[in-house]
Formats: sequence, C-alpha cells, structure tokens
Amino acid sequence: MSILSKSCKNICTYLGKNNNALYGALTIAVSKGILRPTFTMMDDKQDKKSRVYTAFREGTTGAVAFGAYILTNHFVEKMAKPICEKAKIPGKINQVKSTLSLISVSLTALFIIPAVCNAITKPLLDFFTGKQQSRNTNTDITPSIIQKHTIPPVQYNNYHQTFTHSLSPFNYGMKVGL
Amino acid sequence: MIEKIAAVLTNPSFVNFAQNTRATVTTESLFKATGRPAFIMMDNKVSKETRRYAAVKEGLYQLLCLGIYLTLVSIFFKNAGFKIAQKLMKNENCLPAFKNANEYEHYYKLAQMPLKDRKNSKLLPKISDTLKKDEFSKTTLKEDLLTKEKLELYEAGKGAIELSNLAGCVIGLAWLASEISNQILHPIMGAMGLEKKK
Repeated sequence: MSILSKSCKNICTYLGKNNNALYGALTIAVSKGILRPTFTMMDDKQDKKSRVYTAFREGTTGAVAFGAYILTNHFVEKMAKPICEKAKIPGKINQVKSTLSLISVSLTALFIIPAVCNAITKPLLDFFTGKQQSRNTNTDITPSIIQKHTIPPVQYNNYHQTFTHSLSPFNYGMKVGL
Repeated sequence: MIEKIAAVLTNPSFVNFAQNTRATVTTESLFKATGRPAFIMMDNKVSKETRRYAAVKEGLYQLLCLGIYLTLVSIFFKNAGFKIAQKLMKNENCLPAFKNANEYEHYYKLAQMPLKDRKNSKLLPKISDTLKKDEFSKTTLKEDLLTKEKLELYEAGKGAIELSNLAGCVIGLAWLASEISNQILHPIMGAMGLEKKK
C-alpha cells in the first residue's frame, strides 16, 4: 500500500507540475488509432469497401497524429526559447510553451493531419490490399452505369434448348463406341 | 512585433486555457468535427459513397466525443479520479481534504493570483472555511489565501485530475464514442437522406 501511495503521489505530482497538451493528445491518438478502426470494421450495415477505407483512414489518422504531435511539440520547444529571449521574458518560458503547444496542436489537428491522410490513405490502402492504382481517378461508377454498359444476354426467342451438353452417356438411341 | 506575440502567448487566461486538458480537448474536437469531414470529402481517389460514409462518421464521432467529454469525462471521471487519488495519497500528506475536484481547482486558481486580487475573487467563497492542510495546521487554507503571498499549490491534486481526464478520454472517447457512433450512424445518415433504404 505504501508503494502504491508513493507511486501515485509521484505520478500525480509530476503530471501536476509538467502538464502539457501533448500528453493528452498522444494518449488519445494512440487509443483512437487502435479502437476506432476495430469498431468501424464491426459495422455490418455498411459495404466492406467503405468500411475498409474508413477504418484504414482512422488508423492512419492515429499514426499520423502521433508523429505530427511529437514533431509540433519539438517545434514548440525550439521556438519558445528564442521568443522569450527576444521579448526579454526568460521566466515565462513554460507559459509560452503551453500556449504555443495549444496553437500548434490545434492547427495540426485541423489542417496537417487530414491533409497528410488525404495524400497517403488511398495509395497505402492499395499497397496493403494489393490493388493496382487505377489510372482513372474518377471511381464514381454506380451499379446502374455498369448495367448500362454490360452486353445483354442472348435471347433465344422462347426456343428451349432440349439437348444437354452433359458428357454422361445417353440412355437412348444408337450407342456407338460406348 | 515579438513583444506583442509574447504578450498574447503569456496572457494569463490563455495560459490557463492551454494548461487545461478539458479546454484543449474541446478545441481540438471542434476543429476536427469541421476540418476532417471537409478534407475527407476532398479526397477524390475514392467513391462518393465511401467519402460520404467516412465524412459523416468522422463528424458524428467528433461531436459525440465532445458531448461525452464535457459530461462523462470532465464531471464523472474528474471527481471519481480525484477522490481515489485522495484516498491513495492519504498518508503522503501532499493533498489536503478538499471536498471535491472543483474545490481544489478553485484553490489552485486563487493560489496563483496576486494576494491583492484574491480577496475580491468570486472563487474565494467557494473554499471551505474549515479546510486545513492537515490536523496540525494552525490556520485554514482560506486564511492562508488571504494573508500569504506565496502558497503551496498541491500539484498532486492537479496531476490526479489530469490523470483522471486521460483515463476518461481513453474509455469515453476511444471506446464508448466508437460504439455509440456505430449504433446511431445509419439512422442519422438515413434521416439526412445520405443513405439508400435497403
């Protein structure tokens, strides 16, 4: 019990003193990146193609978010010191870091992550599913269009084919060489 | 120019906002709920039906996340986590017996204010009159707030709240929101006329 209470005190005190938007963002990115695609693939009411794309995009978003948040945090760490030095407020570096972190994390979530996902999701999905990337990017082909361009079946004008093509021996007529 | 930027970045309200997980998650969720569906609809490499499904799912999920966060995570998880941490750290003498997480947060905000501003603060009446650091203390925390310039912040309390928020985010946002989103997505898409009836 003493170890548990000491660990709890250490963790809580550390988090209380060094709270950063990055911790929350990273934890959420990892958990969402794993659980969201899992739940999406369980949605039986949607066609598989849409589910796979959505699940893959959600997973990619989690992975991209994880990397992007670390990079933006690194950028914040690099930027905060020169800003404080030039503005002559060296004692406020932690405050500058917190606010810069919020701004960068928000902009990353709004623009950078979805833009990167747009660029990489489909090529990566095709790569992993083994599909060749179509030259025609417009894939809005509905079943009705496909039906319109399909060769109609041959009409026999009510002529019923009575002869079978079965290889089994006939049970009537002259039997030659059987 | 740089002074103006620094003044914005060190604005006390902005700093407090940036250090609050609840505020950062809310901001992020709102940005995601608007920006991500828009980007998904711009992805011309996939069919319109797929894009529509992914975009509605994303927008709905982010709004659900915000709702769950503002109710379940920031109220239930915050207070439950704070109480558990108080019980666990009872013998460590690092967190006084605050009534709940909100009382601690009020104290934390007051303790960071200059002494002259504390007396007129709306938060001061919300601090219990009898609350002491421990049983051996001669003065109450409220008296300390009114007389001492520099006060102990009891950061373990802030950390306990942040930890509870993170646990709540994983359970509420990653698991619960995904499950609810799956249940209500198709009825909503049907009601919006974005899905053909089968």
